[in-house]
Amino acid sequence: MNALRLYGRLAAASLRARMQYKMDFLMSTFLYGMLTVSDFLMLAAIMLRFREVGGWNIYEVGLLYGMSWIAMGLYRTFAPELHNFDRYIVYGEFDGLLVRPWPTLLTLLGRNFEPHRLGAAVQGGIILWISVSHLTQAGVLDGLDVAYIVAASIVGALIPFGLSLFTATLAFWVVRTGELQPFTMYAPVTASQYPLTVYPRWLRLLLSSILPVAFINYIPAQYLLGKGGSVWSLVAAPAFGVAFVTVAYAFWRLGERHYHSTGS
Amino acid sequence: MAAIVEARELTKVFRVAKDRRGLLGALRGLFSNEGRDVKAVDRITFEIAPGEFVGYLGPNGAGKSTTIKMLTGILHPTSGEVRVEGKSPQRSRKEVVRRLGVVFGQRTQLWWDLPVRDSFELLAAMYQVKPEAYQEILKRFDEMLEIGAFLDVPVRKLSLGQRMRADLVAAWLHRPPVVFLDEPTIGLDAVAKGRIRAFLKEINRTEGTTIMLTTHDMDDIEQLCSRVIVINHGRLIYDGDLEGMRRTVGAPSTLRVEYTRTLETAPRGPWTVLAHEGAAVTVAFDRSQHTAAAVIAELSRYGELRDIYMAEPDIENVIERMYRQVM
Amino acid sequence: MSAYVLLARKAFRRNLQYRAAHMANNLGSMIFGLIYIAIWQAAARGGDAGPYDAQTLAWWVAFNQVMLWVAVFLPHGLGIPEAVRTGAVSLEMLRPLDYHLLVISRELGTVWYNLWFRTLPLALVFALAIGVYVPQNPATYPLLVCGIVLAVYIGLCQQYLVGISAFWTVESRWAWQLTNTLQIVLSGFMVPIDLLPAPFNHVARVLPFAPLHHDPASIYLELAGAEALLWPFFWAVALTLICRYLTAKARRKLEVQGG
Repeated sequence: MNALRLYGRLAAASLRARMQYKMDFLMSTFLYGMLTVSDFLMLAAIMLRFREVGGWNIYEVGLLYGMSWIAMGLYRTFAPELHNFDRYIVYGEFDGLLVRPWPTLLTLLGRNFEPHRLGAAVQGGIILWISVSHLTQAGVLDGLDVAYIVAASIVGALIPFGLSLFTATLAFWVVRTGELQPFTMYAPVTASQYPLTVYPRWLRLLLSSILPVAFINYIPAQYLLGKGGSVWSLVAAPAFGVAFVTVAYAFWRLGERHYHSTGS
Repeated sequence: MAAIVEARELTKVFRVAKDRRGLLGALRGLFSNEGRDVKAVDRITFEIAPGEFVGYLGPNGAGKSTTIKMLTGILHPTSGEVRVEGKSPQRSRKEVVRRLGVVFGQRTQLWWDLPVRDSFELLAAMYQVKPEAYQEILKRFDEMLEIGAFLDVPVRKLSLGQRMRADLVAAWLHRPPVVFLDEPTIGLDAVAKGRIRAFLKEINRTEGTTIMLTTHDMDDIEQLCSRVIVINHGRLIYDGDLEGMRRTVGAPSTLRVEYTRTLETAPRGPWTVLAHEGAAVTVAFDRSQHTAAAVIAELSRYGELRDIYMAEPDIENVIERMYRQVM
Repeated sequence: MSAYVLLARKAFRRNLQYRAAHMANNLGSMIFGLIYIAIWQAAARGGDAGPYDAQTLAWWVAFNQVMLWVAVFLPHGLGIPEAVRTGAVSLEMLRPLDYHLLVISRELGTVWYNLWFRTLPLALVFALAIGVYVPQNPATYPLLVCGIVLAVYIGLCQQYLVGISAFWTVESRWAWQLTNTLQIVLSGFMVPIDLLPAPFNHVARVLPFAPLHHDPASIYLELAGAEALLWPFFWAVALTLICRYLTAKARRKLEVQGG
């Protein structure tokens, strides 16, 4: 609990720091919004034209899209420095985290809170809300399902967080990891906006194992929409998220130990 | 008294990989063992008692910062041991660093875009400093360092001297018994340096903080440190007071005398003549061989002396000689 | 003439140092491409895509994914903002060379590098995955070369405008991000622009972004003929005039303020 309070204080402070540049803040909010719109535009172009993709209709795909962006937006908002972690190794700033009496990851996460990224989660939330209300009216989903979907979207942030933690930890060995992010983060998260069934077999396997974005949305949604899977998939998704982050954190600790013995 | 900081047979070996560029190179490096070992720190042993003010010296690349990084738990020693208040920073990093203050002169630990006060509050929260204690220490530091004037200014707008003062306060907020200072006066002007030295002296006296300082500024050493530890090529080459260091090195002391009349030729004796101009003569001699009294007596054989001025060897000179000797 | 070539060669060598990191990045681009291809193919199999069948859409995505590296993914403002910040720009402008041409030719070195170390490896992977479309009409080949050259030149000019804006604003980073987003959304990179929902399809048709992707892709896949070069040609001329006008203004500003 203490750790949570410290994180809160750190995040509040970085929010204040960011507010010092109001123009910058407004512009980045606007641009990040545009970036998410470009994703949406492609989805709209496909769905309005073809009505369905891989057997999923516009609202069903909207459900995946919304959950994916909520998870990604929350991760980007609450763990911004993890995304740029290689900088800490390049400039030797990791030492500064090690001389603090807290776990390094906690001190890192509280830095440079990026509230404008929340815009992505809001945008995803709107699409999710539209999709879910249509699916409820059509009798596909009931109230309990909707509650589950909302909770799962939030817990889903664990997956991009875990992917990012894995990528960041590699910086302890290879220093520059920015170039790996398209492969480990952007591409898989983009892939999760569409049903897994559209991808070739090897890609499906990749997206539900090493880059497990299928657990953000596809695995539970498939069951809720009556497209297969078992009731266990509802448990599997959050359980996998927790397990994934746990393993990623163990990897982080390993990286930290490596740093202790070699320095930067 | 029991030592507060102990280093025993402290050794750090780095493996320098064969030069590899870029990501793929680094990846390849993961799976191969090519490379050679470099001993950055080689079996260093010392003990520091509570309240001591120790200067840690050595040329660039001697292993100073590697040692400091091991003492603060950033790096783990290849062999040997570190104890701070009897605990190993390697095994209980969080517990140990809670009792440490660290200042890296070249890098601030304050939040760049926030007012100084906000950084202090965050650090106080991080080290769980009680509000009353925090207010009290802030007041005391304001008296010593006059930080009140810029408490509400964002760190990025501070001058280098102001920033260093703020960084020092930040290191002392939780009243750590041990503080490590890495080049705290680097890049500062004379006035700012003087102010920081006065503060360090005062806080070492009143709080009894044990301080270990690395610096290239010999005035820092002369004015602050009761003890110096010198390393070179990773090895400890001297541990003791400044006077002892002068003696060990046998650096020449200089003596300037003025005769009552002009000397035609320079006096000859167990010294080197550095300057000879009219009635004034400056000579250098080795104090480990001859006493000053003997040299003066010898000099006075060449004429009546009107004035005598003696200078101790320049500390910078001493250190330089010391580095050279052990090469 | 040789000074310009020398600059390009230097840029090429500079990039060469980072080729390992770029290969890691290529892995990401490859996955991105394969994901988009799979999505479009799945969509096209289920409905009517007008002139675009599943295979054509796959080629469309692959072609544009590799075009990205020669026409769109260029350094921020072609390095001009950095030169403005450090003051090096006054020196560069004083040289007896044409500044617009100087910057463009220097970046051609980067484009040339990208062609070999980004475009080519990606093209090979996509070729293995979905095959290669071989244009049937021999006239397509010269048209395609023209389309690609115009795309590269227009992309460079747009980036040049971002760079030259640094003379008047401190933060050209926003202009850069905005330009990049527009170049991706409205160029037909992800979606052939006639498949975009209205009014985007009409707007995108006349903007200077379609020449980057939509027009050369249409020529390559023989969905359009020589008429697909009209807009690119118009924009190449227009952007040249704008670039040269702003360069002259920037030079005057520099002369008045002395850098």
